[in-house]
Amino acid sequence: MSWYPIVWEELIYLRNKFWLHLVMYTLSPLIFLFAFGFGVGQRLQLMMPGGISYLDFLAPGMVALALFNNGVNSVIIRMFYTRLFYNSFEAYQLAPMNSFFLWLGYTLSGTLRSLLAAAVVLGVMFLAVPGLVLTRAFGLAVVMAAFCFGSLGVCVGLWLRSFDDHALANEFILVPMTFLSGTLIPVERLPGFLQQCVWLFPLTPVTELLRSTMTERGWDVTLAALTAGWFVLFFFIGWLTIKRLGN
Amino acid sequence: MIEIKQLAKQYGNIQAVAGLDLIIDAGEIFGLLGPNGAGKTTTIRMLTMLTRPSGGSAFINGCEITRDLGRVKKEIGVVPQHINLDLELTARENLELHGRLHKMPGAERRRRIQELLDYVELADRAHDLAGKFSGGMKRRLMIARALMHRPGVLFLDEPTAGLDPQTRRKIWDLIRRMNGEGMTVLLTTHYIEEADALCRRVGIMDRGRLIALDTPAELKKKVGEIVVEAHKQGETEYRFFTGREQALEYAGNLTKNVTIREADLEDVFVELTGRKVGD
Repeated sequence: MSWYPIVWEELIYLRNKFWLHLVMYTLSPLIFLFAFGFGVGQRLQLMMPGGISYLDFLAPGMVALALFNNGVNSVIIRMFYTRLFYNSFEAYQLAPMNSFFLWLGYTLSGTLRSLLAAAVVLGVMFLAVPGLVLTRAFGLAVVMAAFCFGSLGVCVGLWLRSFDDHALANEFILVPMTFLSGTLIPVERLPGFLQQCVWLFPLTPVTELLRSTMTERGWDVTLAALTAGWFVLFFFIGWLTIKRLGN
Repeated sequence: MIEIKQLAKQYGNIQAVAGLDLIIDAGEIFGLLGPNGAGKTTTIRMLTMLTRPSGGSAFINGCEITRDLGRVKKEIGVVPQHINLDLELTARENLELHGRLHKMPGAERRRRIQELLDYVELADRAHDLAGKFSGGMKRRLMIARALMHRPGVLFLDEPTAGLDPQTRRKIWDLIRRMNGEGMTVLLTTHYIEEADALCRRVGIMDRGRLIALDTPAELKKKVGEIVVEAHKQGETEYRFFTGREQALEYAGNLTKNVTIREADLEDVFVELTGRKVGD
């Protein structure tokens, strides 16, 4: 349980600004829902593969986005400020805790935020999309995705050295993934070369896995393996970077 | 006890610490003096393993810092130069977090938090966010946090930097009390009077090397206990003498404005390095 103090600290942040976080988690899915679901989405109906409704297509995309944005961003911001500005990250480095538990604590903090945001989005989606069915496979996919994005947040958070890096991460990692990973627009409807490239984003297999577990397609082993593969990669990068801190 | 053997740190072409050898006795308050960039903070960062040494070794209460890292971390408390509290947590929560990181059982943790908040006179502000504290209060809270897990050795890096004289003296009293309870203290400082008031022995560092090491009184004796300051056209010349009579005789022959006073550690420092401590 060496990792727990890091999660405990995250729980204190959440408790202190609970209503603010709740509003934040609710606001962006509502914006996407109104802009894409009820707005331009009505005209995207023709683009839908397999003739499903755009709202049915959008629901897993929204959950994936909530998992991604909150999991990754919460860890990036926490690591960025505690390492480079408040220096409170040192408190963890000075504690008798090995680098694996330090990695795990931050990853679980991101996972927690990711899952909370996904729960709020699902709540909104239940109200907006009638007949939404959740399966155990979907639950498992959500947890896998939350872990994956928590660990991605640790990698990016450790890499940042300045506000410029933060902006770069935003522009080159977060924004492209948000719009091109099959969350709002089907991958099949992207320009030809992009259809292949977007599979280099970890958000793409996660979105497709969530979508398949929300439909009769069910659990897709290849997509689950890709998600797990990203997680393993992020784990090694994050863990080794933490081990090398102070060199 | 801290034992340092040939400890070194190289950043590219810059030798931040060059083969430091030093033994600090158990229960001693030891001061490291030096100008900015002398290598004091790097030394503390290496001893606390926030920075990996390029060479040499160090033992803290018998534990080698690179091999017995877990045990070393239990043995040491660290108060860095900068504020590194979690400003979004209250004073109590900051201590609670530290206790949890050191795996202190719940009941002991709660007892220790109360004890330390009383010790650093912050009990009435226990539930206020650390971000709302003054500089002196933050520093006192950092000292309390460093003491939370009952370390045997305390590292204080510029513990009173930027604080007003009253708060500085309050922190000096705290350091004396901790030392009175048997704790070994290694502190770095820019403030000469701080080293003079607190430390049994002082080491002077310059450009990564320890250039002098002794008690403040002995260091002053070495350069001469009496100083004659001769002021002329905005410049000051210093001459050191072992006795007051010699100093008076020398001053009597001068036509400049002169001041005769006892030497302090700043004089020792200037004499040894050619620079002032704050340079």
